[in-house]
Amino acid sequence: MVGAVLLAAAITLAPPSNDAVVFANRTAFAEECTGTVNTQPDRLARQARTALAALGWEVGGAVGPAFTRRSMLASAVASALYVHSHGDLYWDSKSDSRVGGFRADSGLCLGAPIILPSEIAAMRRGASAASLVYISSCHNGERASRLPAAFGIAQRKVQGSGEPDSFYVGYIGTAWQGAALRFEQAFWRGLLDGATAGAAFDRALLVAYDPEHLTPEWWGGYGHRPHAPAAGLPDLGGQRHV
Amino acid sequence: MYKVHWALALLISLVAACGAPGTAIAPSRTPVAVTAGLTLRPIANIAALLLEPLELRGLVDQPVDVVRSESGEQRARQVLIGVGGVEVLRVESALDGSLRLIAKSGVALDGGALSESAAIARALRHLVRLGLEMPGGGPAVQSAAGRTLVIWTRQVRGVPVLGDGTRVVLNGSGALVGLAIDESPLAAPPARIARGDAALRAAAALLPIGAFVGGSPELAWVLPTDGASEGSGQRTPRRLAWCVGGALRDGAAFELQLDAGSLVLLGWDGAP
Repeated sequence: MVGAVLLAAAITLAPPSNDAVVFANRTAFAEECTGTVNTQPDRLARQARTALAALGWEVGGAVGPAFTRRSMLASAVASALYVHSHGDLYWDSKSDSRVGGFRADSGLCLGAPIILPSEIAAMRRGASAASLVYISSCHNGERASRLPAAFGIAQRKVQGSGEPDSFYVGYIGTAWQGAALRFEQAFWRGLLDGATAGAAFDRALLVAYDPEHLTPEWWGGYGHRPHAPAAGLPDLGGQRHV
Repeated sequence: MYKVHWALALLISLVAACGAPGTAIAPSRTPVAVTAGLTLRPIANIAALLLEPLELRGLVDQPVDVVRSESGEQRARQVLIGVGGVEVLRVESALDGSLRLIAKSGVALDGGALSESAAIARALRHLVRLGLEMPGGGPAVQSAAGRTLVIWTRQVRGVPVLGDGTRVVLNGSGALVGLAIDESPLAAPPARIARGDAALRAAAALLPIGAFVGGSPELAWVLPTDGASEGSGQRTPRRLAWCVGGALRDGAAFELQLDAGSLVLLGWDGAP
């Protein structure tokens, strides 16, 4: 009995890993699907990979056709995760409601497989809440999206006491890639400058993205610093005390 | 010219890094400070305008350094750090001393909702208090994640310069979260501007089967090659373009930016 309780506790309190994953859909935005050359998915993914690596994470994932439903779900247990793809409030027949989610790449212009929050939640059963989740797609910053919950992040903003060690970023409504590129660049830059996730988000609101093309949203702890557990705090050397 | 700026920037960084310990956070009696030949508003003065007296205690300043902004502009950066090494205030200025960015960290997430007119009034009040130029025209107001954005887009002869202008971010009770002022270089406009219907035809010719253009094309100053290359981080001059919207076969929205004179493709944007 005691053994079973300890085992359950060990599973429930599994320590966060140092694994981060970055997935980006390239095919759906490529020339053969849209008619024009578009390097934005690669640039968005590269920004995320570079920043997460600098924050101490071991970064995996896939950009392009290797971003499949299977590869993504196999990595869903990661502690930090970035996805750029088509997103929507997709229908989940299990819950009989629209729940959010995003499409894989799978090398398809249209009709790529959809990854639903319930599938991610099932893969993450027993894992601690993710440290940082960035869903760079349409609609997954909306209240109706259950993706934050799938990663163990409640849809509330906490500042001060009782902040969770988690931060989720998504977009409300339609999110344009050009605006996302600017916003995300500033967000990552803020984190690398040593800002907390909430402060980095605030700073990103100041960059020159078109507000009609992007409505960012966040949930979690304003003061959370999403560096890998094994990594130290950023070096803020050089400061002058007065 | 850029070489001169970079040399100046390096000199500033060296002098600041090797200089004497910082001065107290108490605001300077002079409105500007001269650092290695660069005239900057001291961050302590700006902090005194934005923070409560108790909030000023224990702050430390970091050496002035030179950074490149997201738009590619070289800027002198001043930062105040609070207890635990957390950044409290950041100020960035162009190398001619013009203020470009103020960003406060940890501004309260007040649950209040500002009306549009109240947000504009509060934003103007912050600009006046900081002695900044009043932007012309009517701003756009948008809410995002509990913050309110008040944005005056720069216009040149009635044509918007996308991404340029004055942006003020407020919390739910109107306190300043930050402000940014951007002004990009502009390329010379084409000698002759193509007609809007010609832009629609040129855009339609670029599209794959099943996609269509829609709505009226609009003129704007845009950053070229935004969708197709790495140009957006550079101080590339904005070019006058026809912006043509439409939808792909799956309904995803897109926008093509075509040179306003030659109708050559300058950039692409899409909505996932």
